[in-house]
Amino acid sequence: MKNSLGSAALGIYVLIFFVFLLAPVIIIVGISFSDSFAMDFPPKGYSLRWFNYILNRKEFVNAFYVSVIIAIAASVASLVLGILASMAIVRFKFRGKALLESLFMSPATLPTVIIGVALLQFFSVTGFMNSWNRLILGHVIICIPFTLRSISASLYGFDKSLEEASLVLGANHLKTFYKIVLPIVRPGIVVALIFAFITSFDNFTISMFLIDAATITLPIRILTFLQWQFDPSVAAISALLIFLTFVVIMIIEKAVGLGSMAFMRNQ
Amino acid sequence: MSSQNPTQAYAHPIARPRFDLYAILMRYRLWFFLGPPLLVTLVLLVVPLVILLQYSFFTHVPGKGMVFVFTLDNYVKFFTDTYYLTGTLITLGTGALISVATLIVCYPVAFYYARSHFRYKGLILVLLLAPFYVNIIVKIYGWMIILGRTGMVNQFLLAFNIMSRPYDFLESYIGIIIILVHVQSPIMVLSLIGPLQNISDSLIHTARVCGARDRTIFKDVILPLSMPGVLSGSMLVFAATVAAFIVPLVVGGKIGFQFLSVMVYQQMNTIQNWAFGAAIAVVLLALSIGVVTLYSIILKASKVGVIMSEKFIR
Repeated sequence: MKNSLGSAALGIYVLIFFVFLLAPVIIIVGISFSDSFAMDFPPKGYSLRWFNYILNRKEFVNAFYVSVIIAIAASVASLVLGILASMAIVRFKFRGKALLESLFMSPATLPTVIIGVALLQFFSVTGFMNSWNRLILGHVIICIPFTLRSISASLYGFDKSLEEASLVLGANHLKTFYKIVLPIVRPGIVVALIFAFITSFDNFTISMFLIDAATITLPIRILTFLQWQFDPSVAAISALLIFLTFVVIMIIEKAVGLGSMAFMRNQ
Repeated sequence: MSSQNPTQAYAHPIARPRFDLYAILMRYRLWFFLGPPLLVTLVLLVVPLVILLQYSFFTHVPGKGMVFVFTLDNYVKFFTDTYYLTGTLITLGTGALISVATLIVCYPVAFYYARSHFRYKGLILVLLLAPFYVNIIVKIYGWMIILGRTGMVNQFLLAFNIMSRPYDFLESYIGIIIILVHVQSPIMVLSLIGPLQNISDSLIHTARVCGARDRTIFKDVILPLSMPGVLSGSMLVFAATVAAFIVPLVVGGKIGFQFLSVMVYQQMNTIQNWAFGAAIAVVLLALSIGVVTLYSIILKASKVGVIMSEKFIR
């Protein structure tokens, strides 16, 4: 822009926008280091007492384990299903392919509440299993779009002649898949796993319909604490989640670049 | 033996391994790949949705629960009661409001990112995506601290005598608006950046050489060419807002409970009227599918314009 005044105003606006965007995050991290019960920002004194407090609270630690176990199970299962589905969609020609693809992708666009309600009714009709399995299955279905998307993205960019070369040179299909296809698609798999993990770990809506007393996940535990206990303890656990998010973003940035992350999220 | 067989004489010996699991699967290979994900999606998504649709036509008997008798009462109740119609209006109206507000808030940011030669563009992307990926409950908690009765905004307003008493943003519609704009902003910026970046510098330069002022360049060149991003961004935000659940559940007090998604939850968990809850869910589903379809029709129509303008550049 030639107009330097306008360009300066734009710069200031962008700065204000990022203050708005980052304010909740910065304030939570600030308060989590507070040494008192007050929710002041910036805190009057600093300490790690709230981190110590939450790490000794069974509710939080248990909820964290529940979330991690479910997220690992759901992301591994949805990864396998995502690899199979994207192989079918990228490598084969068949009728109704576009329809099937949008069916696989639909959990990312349908309102999550509706999937939650539908699953709640489905599991009550079928009298189905304990809440662990219900939660894992419910999370698998919302993770599939993310694994499918990132794996098919890397399959589309795949040079098929490499695979043909391997076959001509005497490797069988299985060995070719293992030695050629998998290593090339690996970044896609890493991203798929990370996204599926985040999607499951962060999920609130599906879990809200499917949990029972033994399987309260971390986001839901945080919510119940928000309503009953308004002190920096929630800030400390939130700050831990924020640090985790930043670490994940850095890993993805290093692995594949942030460009691939756009839109990989539903809330 | 084999040397007498002319077809085998030319066959490459190592191209035919003795055991090939994949080759065995070749005959059913499509179903090998497609079968498991399709089965899972059918059982865990399609069947539940069919059951949901079916339940919405069942009768609810107070005290007894759901009876499997066909009825249209749930839909009649929804479309004749002003409470639920108001809820529908609030849900759709908030979707429209948030998509417009987010667009206005985010357009300058995307414009800055796409058109300026700022050195730390990667940093901007990180700062944009970091809050995007923070858990939504954590974000809501942050806003509760900022907007609460004793929060910073109220302290500020009281200190400068703009208000005499603290205002409870968290129990009001304003709280919902602020948090939803905050939650949806990164999506909007990301969808605007692409089309804005694709606008060729030479096009703007040409317009300037021809004597167009900055305002004209923006109105006649940049804005029309960024329309695909504007449309897809506002579609994503609209759809996400119509489906928003956690924000109106936690924030907004009474008005939050008039969002269709929260109504569904209430019917299922608090009131235990599963049939009516299913009917509200079906309405919500129809609305969100309708919104997405409408936008994609508009988007398809508008893509024509982009292709034409690209031809003009060449």
